[in-house]
Amino acid sequence: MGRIVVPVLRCLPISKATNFVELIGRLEYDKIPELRKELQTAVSSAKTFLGTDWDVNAVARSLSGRHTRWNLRDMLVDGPNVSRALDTFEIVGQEYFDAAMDEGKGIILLSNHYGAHVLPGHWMLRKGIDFRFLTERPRHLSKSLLKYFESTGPLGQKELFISRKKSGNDGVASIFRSLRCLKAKHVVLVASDVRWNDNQSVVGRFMGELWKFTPIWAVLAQRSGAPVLPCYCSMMPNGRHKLEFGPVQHIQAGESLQLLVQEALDRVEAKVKQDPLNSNDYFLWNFDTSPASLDVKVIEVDTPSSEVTLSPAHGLKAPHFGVTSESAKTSRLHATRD
Amino acid sequence: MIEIRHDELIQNIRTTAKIPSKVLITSTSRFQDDLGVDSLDFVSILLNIQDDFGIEWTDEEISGILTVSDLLDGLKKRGVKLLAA
Repeated sequence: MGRIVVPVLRCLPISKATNFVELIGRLEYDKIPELRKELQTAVSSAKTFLGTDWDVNAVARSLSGRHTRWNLRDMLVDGPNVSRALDTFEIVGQEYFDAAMDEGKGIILLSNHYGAHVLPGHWMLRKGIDFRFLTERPRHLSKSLLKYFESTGPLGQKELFISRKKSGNDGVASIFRSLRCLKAKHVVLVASDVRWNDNQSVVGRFMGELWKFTPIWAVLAQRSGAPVLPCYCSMMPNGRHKLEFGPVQHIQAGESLQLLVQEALDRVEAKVKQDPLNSNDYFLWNFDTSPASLDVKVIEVDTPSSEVTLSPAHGLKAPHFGVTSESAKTSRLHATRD
Repeated sequence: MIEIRHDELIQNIRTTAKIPSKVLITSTSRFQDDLGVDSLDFVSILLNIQDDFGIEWTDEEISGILTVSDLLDGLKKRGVKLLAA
């Protein structure tokens, strides 16, 4: 779509623009057998694991539409019109957000990673709330977010984007920068489900598989005393978005990072069960046999003594769920992720 | 001027990062490669020093601290006097 179609879409009401984009995704599903098969396999696996009664074809078809909208990231809510963007948001649990703000220690906004994870930024931007992302730099940032980030001064956003390619003390520096932002009472958005492989990663179970996740949000909470505010972000029909804030958490020093990460993952998994249309990427994790994915995958190995041991997935020859690494490389769905 | 005994500082590092007593900490020891200090423990070391000495590490300083010697140099530049044991 890109440069030509998006400006045209932005002239339309957001509901019409997003419905059009999702329609394209559903048509692709109808017309492209490989895409259809890939999504049906992914949804079917998730259905089995979660024990749901989803209609696999219906969910996969809608998911294809949502995936196409998801690929546009935040482009459709970009622009200077504050009310146009704000009107798309349904906020659940505003009282939790307000309570966290009232503590005056900044907020660690613990979001889900996929779906609409950039969108809390748009809501906060329009609400005049100071925030930063402690995330990898999204593949696309809208002009309005970029403009905001460029105005963020000494505690700027630029140095807060983390990268898997960085090394040395960059991760340490990111934690320090985030602590400074919290001290300045900013909201720091960080995802609870970021698969990450470094020496601070912890193993968590998600959708039946073990992965390495970063516990950076819990470390920040322990170190800063800032409240952790869970936030589930989702794309809704007709161009709407929902931000659901949950009860504030206070993390104590010494609490197990692994348990904290697992609790957060369990919350996201419960949402996946309720809301498959915002779970496109989660469904695909098991099918991604790229080196980056294998790097964060942990395999349970049943030993003869029936003890369970864990080993990294690197070097694994057997594909998961019958999807070959070659097909993963060529997948239409994997090519567009952040 | 803030003063701290060198051996006291080293002991604080050992305790914070849970470095076994059999591991020798020298000025050339690299935190990650030689002492096995992971990034969370390293954050703790730097934050403890920050709190104890009332300094605020800059990003450049943090990026440059790879060895014990780097850390000691950083403290000296901040006006902390290291006393011999």
